[in-house]
Order: sequence, then C-alpha cells, then structure tokens
Amino acid sequence: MAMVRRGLHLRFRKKVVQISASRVLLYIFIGALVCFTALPLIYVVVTAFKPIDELLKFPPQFIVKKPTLQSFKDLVVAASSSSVPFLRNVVNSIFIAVSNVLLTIVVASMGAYSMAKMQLPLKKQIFSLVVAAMMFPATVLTIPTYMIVDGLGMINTYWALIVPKVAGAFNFFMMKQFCEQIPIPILEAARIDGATELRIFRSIVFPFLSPAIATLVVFSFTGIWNDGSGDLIYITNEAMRTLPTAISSIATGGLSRSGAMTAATFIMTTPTIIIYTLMQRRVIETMAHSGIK
Amino acid sequence: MAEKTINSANPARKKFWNLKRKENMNGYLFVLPWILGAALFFVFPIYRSLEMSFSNITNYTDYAVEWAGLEHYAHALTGDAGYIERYFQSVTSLIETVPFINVFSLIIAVMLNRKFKGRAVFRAIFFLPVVLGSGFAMYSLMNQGVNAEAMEAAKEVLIPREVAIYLGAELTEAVSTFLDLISNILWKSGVPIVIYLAGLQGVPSTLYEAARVDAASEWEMFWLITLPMITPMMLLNFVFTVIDSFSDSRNWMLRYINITSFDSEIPQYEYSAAMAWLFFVFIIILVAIIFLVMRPFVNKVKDN
Repeated sequence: MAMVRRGLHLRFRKKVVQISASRVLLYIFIGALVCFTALPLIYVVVTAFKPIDELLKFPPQFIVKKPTLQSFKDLVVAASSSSVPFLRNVVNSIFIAVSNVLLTIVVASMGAYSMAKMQLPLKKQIFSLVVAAMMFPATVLTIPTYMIVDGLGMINTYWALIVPKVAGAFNFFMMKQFCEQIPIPILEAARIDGATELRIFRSIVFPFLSPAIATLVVFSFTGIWNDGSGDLIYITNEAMRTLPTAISSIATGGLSRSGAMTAATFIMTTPTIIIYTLMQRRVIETMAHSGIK
Repeated sequence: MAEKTINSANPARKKFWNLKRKENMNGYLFVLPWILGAALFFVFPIYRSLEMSFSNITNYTDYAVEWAGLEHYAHALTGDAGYIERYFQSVTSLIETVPFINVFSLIIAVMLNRKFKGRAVFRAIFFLPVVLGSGFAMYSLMNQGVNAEAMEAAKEVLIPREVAIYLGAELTEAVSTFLDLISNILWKSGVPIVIYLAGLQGVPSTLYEAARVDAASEWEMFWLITLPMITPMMLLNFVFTVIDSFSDSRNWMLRYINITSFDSEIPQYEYSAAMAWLFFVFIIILVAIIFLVMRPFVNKVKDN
C-alpha cells in the first residue's frame, strides 16, 4: 500500500516538473514577443506626457518623471490655424468615423445576409466580383472615384468622406462568411411564424452577427480614423479637415514641434487601441470563424 | 377548379408575384444599398481605369479619352525597365516574407493553443498590430520624422540598434526601427495566427488520445496529426499572405504605380492604369497557380 502510494506520488511529481519546465519556456518566449509588439505602443503613450527636457534627453527614458500636459497644449497651438480651432478637426474626425461605421454596419450586414441566406440569382457572380475587387490596386481608382463624387455633387461635403468607403469589399466578405453560419432552421421557424424578412433580420440575424459587427467597428473605425487621403482629394474647405491632415501639416516644424508631435501620435493611436481593447474578444472570434468556411 | 378561379380573378399578378420571385425581390432589396455603393465607387471606377488604360486622356478637366490601343501595355512590358524590375522586387519580397510568416504564425498558434494562464491576453496583444499596422497617420508620422536632430544623435552613439529601441531613442526612431525590424513578420502574422488557431481547435481530440495510447511523442503527433489536419488552413493562409503582400501600399509595385500617376511631372494616369491592370492579372494568375499546386496536398477530412 505504501509502495503504491509512493509510486503514484512520484509519477505525479514527475508530471508536474515536466509541465512547469515547458511552461516556463513558453512564457518566456511568448512574453518576449509580446514585449516586442506592445512596448513601442506603451512608449507612444508615455512620451506624450513628458515635459520638453525629458523629451529631448538622451538616451531617452521609458519612465516619465514629471508628467505634464504641455505637449497637448503645444499641439493645440501648432495645429490651430487662424480660422479653424484644433477641436474642430477632432470633431470632424469623430463625426466622419462614427457615421461611416454606422452606415457600413447596416449596409454590409443586410447585404451579406441576403447574399448568404436568401434566394438570389447571380449571387455567386456578385460574390466572386467582391473577392476579385479585394485584390485590385486601389491607387488607380482615385481619379474615377473623384469623378463620381464630383458628379454626385459631394465635393466639399462630409458625404465625400463618408460614403465612398461604405461599400468596402473586405467588410462585406467578412460579414458574408459569418452569415453562412446562421442556422437555417431558425430562419425557417421564424418565417413559418409569419415574421417578415425585416423582422427576421432585426431579431435574429443582427444579434447573431454581433461578433462580426464588433470586428467591423474596429477595422472600419481604424481605417477611417487614420486615413487622411480623402480630405486631401475631396475637400478644399479648411474647416472640414480631419485629424490626420491637420497633424501632418505640423510635422514639418522641426525640434520645436516634437512635443506637439508626441501628443498628436497619442491622439491618433489611443482611440483605436481603446476600441480594439473593448472589442478584442469578439474580433478574434470572428476572424477565426470567417476563416474556416 | 378553385385554382382556376383565383387565376382568372387576377391572372397576370398571380403569375408574376410567385413565391420565388417574391423571395428574390426581398433578397435584392436587402443587398441593394451595398450593390449601389459598390457599383458607384468600385465597379465603375475599375471599369473607367480599364478604359483609360487603353486610351489617352485628351482633356484633364472632364477626363475625355481617345482610343490608344495597346500602347501603354506595350510600353509597360517593353519600354519601361523600371516596371519589370518592380515585378522582381515584389516577388522577391514575397518569397522572403511569406514562408516566414506562415511558419512563424503556425508556431505561435500552436503555442497559443496550449492551455495556460493569461492566454486570452497574449492572443489579444498578438492581434493588436493588425488593427494598427496600416495606419496612415503612423506611417506618415514615421516618414516625415518628428525630430531629425535627435535621430541623428541616436545613430551616432554606438548602441546596438535592437538595444537602442528599448533604451528608447527618440519616439520616431523607436517606432520606425521597431517597424523596420519585424513589420514584415510579426506585424503581418495576426490574421494567419488566428486562422491557424481556428484550424488547430478543429482537430478532433480523439486523434491525439488514440496516438497517446499508442505511445506517440508530442513531436510525432505534430507531424503526423496536426500538420496534415490543418492543410486547408495552410492553403488559406498562403493565399491570404500573398494577396496581403501584393495589396500593401508599401509594396514596390504599388508605390511605383502611385508615383507614376500622381507624383511625376507629367501625369501619366493612363499608363499607371495599364500597369495596375497587368499587375492585377498577374496576382490572379499567381493565386490560381498556388491553388492548383497546393490542392493535391490539402486533406479534405471534413467531407468524410
């Protein structure tokens, strides 16, 4: 009895040791890689709160000793032109990003649902068009797109910055892959109970799609938030400039602007990181699901 | 008999609005906003660029064109050494990065698939670069340089570059050196890692249990069970990384096309459209070849 006990005990101990050794290696390896990914971002955040003497110190420090908001004040001064306050650029960017994301959610999820689950002749052809379009070099579309925007009378309006990106191929592709997984019996049951397609979409499809919608929010928001090319092309009105354009105009200021630039980088990156952090669990879920099928 | 009365009461309508048509109608209504948007801002511009690639622009206010035949295509393939060179550059960088991304992301996925504390956090951090990676602002901030003097100072001091990052050079220096070092691998591995993870979780655990009963080692199980089971994900990831590499705006070819159409002294929009179309066809052919070559090696376990 005692021997059996010792035998069990030994085997148990051996297993524990083995696991923890490989565990430690695993943690070290993954920890190193995570540092590699995350440290520059932490550095971006820390640097934005450094006073000018710490900012120009060499070698620079990872830790900020006297946190200050001076860089943000510099940024506001540097980026405000005589007529347009910096806050206006921030509001422009938020308005454009939010309305684009909301429109994209509605348009992409409705379209994807009908493409995946409804009777639709030609749907295979439409879908392969979407996939092919994802591979087309977008730069050469700038001029024809400008012509369309011009033809619709959208030049110098917020519409020019919101609408052209709503029907993006990537969002639609992702949504469609996700819609394929909605169980058909649920839809049929709803139909038999007399629900209209709109009702089915609202009460069944839309909640089912929420992980995919979270992902779409992250990707669309980041794309729009960081994209300054739209207002360079379509907008001549200074008051409608977005953040990336306003910020890149101060980047040429040299040493005296370095504080403002750290604040600008902080403002540009933080919202996307916050949105990602809020949605990340669902983002990973979605990418995995839309990948399989 | 009853059918006949209904039919005769409203024959045309009954025939037209049958159930199938009604469903089609609903489907089209749902997808209409998207199709409208795609037609206006996607299909039409693509069509216009095709048209322009075969023509010369005669008027730059309304972009009227006249037919020029294959002139631009001929020039791209025979008269422009820079263009052909970009193909080699793009394909070289593809060959340099794609295998690494695939192997690396498979290793990471295998690791993240093991159960350990903090797994969710690690996964989240690995996906962060995908979200931030293509940011216009980050890119332009790094290009323009925040602080040239500080960057120069950093380069003069003899610290190994890798160490200098974490001692922390100037903000730009830190971020850009970091990007230089691993952007091609780690920052492009987010999506492949997730796809591999999904594949790994789909491998039935009974296979591993059976192998363990037969005294297989972890190493043998990886090569004989895991790898064959995730071949569909490998194909998917291979195609994904190829397309991702070719559609990245920092790709050699896309930079060249961009410069030709906007930054050169004489705008050569027609020529850059022709180059883009040739490149597009090239990508599609390449993806088709990858499919044909890899198909025989892909296991179709799910069908059985």
